Amino acid sequence: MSNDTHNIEAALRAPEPTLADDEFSVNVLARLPPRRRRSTARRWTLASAACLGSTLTALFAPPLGEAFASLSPWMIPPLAATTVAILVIVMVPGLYFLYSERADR
Amino acid sequence: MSDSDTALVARVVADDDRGAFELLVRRHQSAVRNFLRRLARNDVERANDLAQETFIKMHAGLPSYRGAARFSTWLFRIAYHTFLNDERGRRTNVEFSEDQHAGAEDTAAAVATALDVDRALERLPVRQRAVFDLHYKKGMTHSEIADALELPIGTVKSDLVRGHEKLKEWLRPAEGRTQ
Repeated sequence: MSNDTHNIEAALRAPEPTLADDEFSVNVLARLPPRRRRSTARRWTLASAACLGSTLTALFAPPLGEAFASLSPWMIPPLAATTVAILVIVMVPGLYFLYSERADR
Repeated sequence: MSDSDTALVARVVADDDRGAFELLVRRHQSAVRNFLRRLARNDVERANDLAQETFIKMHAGLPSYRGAARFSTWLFRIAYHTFLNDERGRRTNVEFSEDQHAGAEDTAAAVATALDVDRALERLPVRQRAVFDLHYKKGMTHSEIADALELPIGTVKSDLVRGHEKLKEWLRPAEGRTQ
């Protein structure tokens, strides 16, 4: 290998300078689109809502159904009344969740 | 022990974790900016703008990063294409000739006076500049460069050989040249 070739090779292999970040990463972050909702938080919210809904349904649907059937001026079978109670218990948090998702956009 | 690039990417993709993204930027900004400076012929401001654009594209593209290549290889691919797009935009109505600077006689005379490898590298076509930078400054293998620049591996090897020949020619002492 000639001296010239050796010098070129050495110059090419010389390490490049490490550039200080300064404000570079901050500027990049500032140009990013708005942050997405944390999907982990969303998963936990859904799971918690499902557990809470199941618990409330199991605890309150049969007594609510019975109360609804006894208060109603019409003859409503207890099973139908319980079904209505279940629907109300499930739909209220469901509708609230849908509303909050829309508002978040 | 610091998180690996792959772990940080996973955090950004799963939760849009801005802290993890900032770590990725901080970790790679120097290499990417140096790479783009080389391509932009040491135009620092342009290189910084393109580097920012590179990282923003990286953020948008992270969900599609499959981990088949090294993260840095994937990142340099984005940087290279960002530069090429910008270069084409600057040369509207002008033929995209990578060698247009190579013919400048005054530059040739200036370069020939000293072993100024950096300036000589600026005279190489953009693709060869990219190949040289990734090989010598980033320590990439031929196949990694081929992957990053989406070139056949034979092209990478021939770019290195031809680039060396040009550098030797340009850096030969003036008195030793026939012209």
